[in-house]
Amino acid sequence: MSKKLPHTCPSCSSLLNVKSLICGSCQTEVTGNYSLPLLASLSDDDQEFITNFVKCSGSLKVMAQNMDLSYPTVRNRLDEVIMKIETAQKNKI
Amino acid sequence: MKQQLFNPFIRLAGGKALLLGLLGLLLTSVVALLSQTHFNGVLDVHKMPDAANHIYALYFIESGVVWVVCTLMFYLAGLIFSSSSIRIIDVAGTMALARWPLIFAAVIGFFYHYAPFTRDLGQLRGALIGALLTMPFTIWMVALMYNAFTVCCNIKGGRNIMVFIVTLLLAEVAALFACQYAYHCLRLS
Repeated sequence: MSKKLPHTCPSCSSLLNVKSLICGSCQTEVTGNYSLPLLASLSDDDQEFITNFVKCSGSLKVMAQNMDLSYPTVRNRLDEVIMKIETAQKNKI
Repeated sequence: MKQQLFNPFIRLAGGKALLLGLLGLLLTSVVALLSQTHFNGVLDVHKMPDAANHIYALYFIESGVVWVVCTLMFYLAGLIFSSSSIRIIDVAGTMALARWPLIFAAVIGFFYHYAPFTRDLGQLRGALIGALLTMPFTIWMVALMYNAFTVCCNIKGGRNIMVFIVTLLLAEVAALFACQYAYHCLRLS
């Protein structure tokens, strides 16, 4: 089962920070207070969309072909992701 | 299935939609010519006997003029109210595709006869039944136009519906004037 990285606090809905990181091979643990990178605060779907966008060299036309969607549908999805990034940036400041 | 009937634009827009849409306009005009049905407005379906001079191009000109007016009006609305980047080819293609249901309205035109200003009760009844039968296809076309506008112009929130209604009404008026101008030019030629 793949676990989803939680972004917001279940209690007050603020953005969560990272408190500890652990090495998968030697179990060394690092603790501190690290804020999540901007892209990590997006949903898995949005992150996948951005990955595909970069893989297609930023061509919405190629993305639309790969996703079997029309060009304006993919462009609208990109607008949505841009809006979410802008909101996340505002929340971080 | 529902999505294919009412919002095919999620998967289909741009050049492909334009080609299919123009094919639809052409076929609709041919059927309209044979059934003497006129589409001389964005929402208008009129059964009218031919004018004495039989200008067959009229049916094709009406379809073309209305499509061009719709494309320009909705593209302008998108440019003014949307923050997204809009391509005219998407608006043109989806607006042409949205007029496909009118082919059924043109087919219905075969089944009733109506002469304007007639007092013949049979003809009036036929015209009323014709109008009622063509209405679902007009509503279907408006639903398609709304979804085409939503996908192509991406205007956020409740403003989308308001902008669509106002643009549709403006396009209707503009199309009526454009058709009148086309009739005037045809009479002169």
